[in-house]
Amino acid sequence: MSSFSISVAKDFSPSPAGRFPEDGPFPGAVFRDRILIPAIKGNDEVVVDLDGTDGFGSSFLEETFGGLVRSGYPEAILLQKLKVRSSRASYEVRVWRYIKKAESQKSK
Amino acid sequence: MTETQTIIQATLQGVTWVLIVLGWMVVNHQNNKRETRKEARSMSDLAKIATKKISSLSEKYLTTVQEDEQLSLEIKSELELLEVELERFPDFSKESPLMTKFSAFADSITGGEFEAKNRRADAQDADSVRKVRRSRTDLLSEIENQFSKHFK
Repeated sequence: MSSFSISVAKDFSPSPAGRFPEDGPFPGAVFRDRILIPAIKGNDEVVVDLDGTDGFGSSFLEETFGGLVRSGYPEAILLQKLKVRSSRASYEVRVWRYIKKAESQKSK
Repeated sequence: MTETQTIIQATLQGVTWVLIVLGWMVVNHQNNKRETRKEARSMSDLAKIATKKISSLSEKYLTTVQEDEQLSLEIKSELELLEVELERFPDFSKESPLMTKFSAFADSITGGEFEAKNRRADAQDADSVRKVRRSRTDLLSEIENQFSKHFK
């Protein structure tokens, strides 16, 4: 089983912000499309480490992780493949909430 | 002194010591409880002050038109500091009401168009501002609930 770890701070930016490319250099959509989706495609398990940044807005997290569902990765697959690590417990809780919400919106 | 008197005297001395130790334990327990309650009060107050500060920063952010990277950075940083304070409560776990209220507060502030390049300034009575105020009040109430539940 192949496992791959991504540190947002080291592999993307210590200052992630916004949703879309027009919002700035390090938005959620760019992290999702350039780093996260290729990692999910090529590995059985992907661990995303959220520590070491300036903090996350819900806009960044929702676009990254809720956006995974909108990009064709259903919650059931993400539950198997995705692990979120953070010393702040709320980030992990919120990430899974965005995934669940995107999943329920998709099925409407 | 008869043997009986000696036994009674020894027993009384023993009982006296037991009462002294029990009394000390009761007083010690009450002191500890009082100190814990004081610390919890201070912890709750700090969390409430931080919540109000973030809410105020957020209203400023939402009702201001210009891109303000410094302010959005401060809001994110203050939210993390608030979470550190909330982690000291015994019930700050995945599905707890405190976590739910904190997450809703963070979402009302940093969701939607937060850090969007083309966001517009909202009015003081806009839905976005009202949502922040409502989630702030919900969080403040939950902090107080948690204090009552665990430390009163």
